[in-house]
Amino acid sequence: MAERKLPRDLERLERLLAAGPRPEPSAALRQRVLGGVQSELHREDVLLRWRCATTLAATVLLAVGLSLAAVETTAFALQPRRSPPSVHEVARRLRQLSPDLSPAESVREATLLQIGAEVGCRTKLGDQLGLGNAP
Amino acid sequence: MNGPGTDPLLLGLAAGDPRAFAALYDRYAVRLYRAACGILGSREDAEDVVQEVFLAAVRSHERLGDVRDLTAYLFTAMSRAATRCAMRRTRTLQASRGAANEAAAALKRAPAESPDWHRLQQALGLLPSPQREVITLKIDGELTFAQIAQVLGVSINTAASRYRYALQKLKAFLMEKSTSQEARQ
Repeated sequence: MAERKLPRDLERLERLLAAGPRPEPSAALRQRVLGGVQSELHREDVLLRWRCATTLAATVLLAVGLSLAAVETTAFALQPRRSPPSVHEVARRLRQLSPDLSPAESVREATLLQIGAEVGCRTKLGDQLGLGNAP
Repeated sequence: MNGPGTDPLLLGLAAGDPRAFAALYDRYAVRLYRAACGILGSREDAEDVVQEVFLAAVRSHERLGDVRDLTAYLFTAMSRAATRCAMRRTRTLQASRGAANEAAAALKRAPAESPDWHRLQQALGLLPSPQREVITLKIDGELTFAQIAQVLGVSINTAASRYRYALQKLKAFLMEKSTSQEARQ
């Protein structure tokens, strides 16, 4: 139906309408419209840049905020690595705890405790003698 | 015809390429302008409307890549802009289009116009605005009935019928005029 044929008389009328003088846009209109288009595109470009900048700034602020919150709630103090006491020191402490131990025996016990602490075998006595923090 | 997403012009428009908008202007501006003149009856208003159509196209350029019928899209924008323009001038659309009739006739009159053409313009001014609009879109806008239907939001049959009735009315008016002229002679 869309472009169906018109009767001849109406077709003639249609041709007459189409053949008549038509208004033409002024020469300045092209420049005016395309100028408007350019400035609109430029405005949009500027807006896009601002949007990117504000998004970036918001992201940075959020990251800084989160970092500060993490710093606030985390203890970052480094714990100094304590070197384990020497065998003789452990032996001395052993002798203090049980004075009836002979010096040779206390050295032997201290050596065993220290070796145990070094391989990760923690004992109550070792902790008491300061061997608990041994690596 | 290239479909949406493949037409280089549509792709250029969607990308916001100023050259694509210049090509769009060269392809459509005159037809849009003439149709706006026919609806509003004012050259200044028609120029404002054409500018408004292009600015609206720029503002929504990202969506232009998906437009199926660019001609219908632009003429729909033109029709809406013309309605807004008429309302801005604190007239009702009906009144503005009615009042525009004489201006439109004067606008189209050329120094070397034929008596037939003059009578035709008078007859156009007497048509109801929906019929005049169809005539304007068909003759000045060079749209198909499918495109006119899309612009006006009616069925293709309605658009075609309106056009046919409008031509019949014009013909009746012309015949009536010539009969009365003959009677006077």
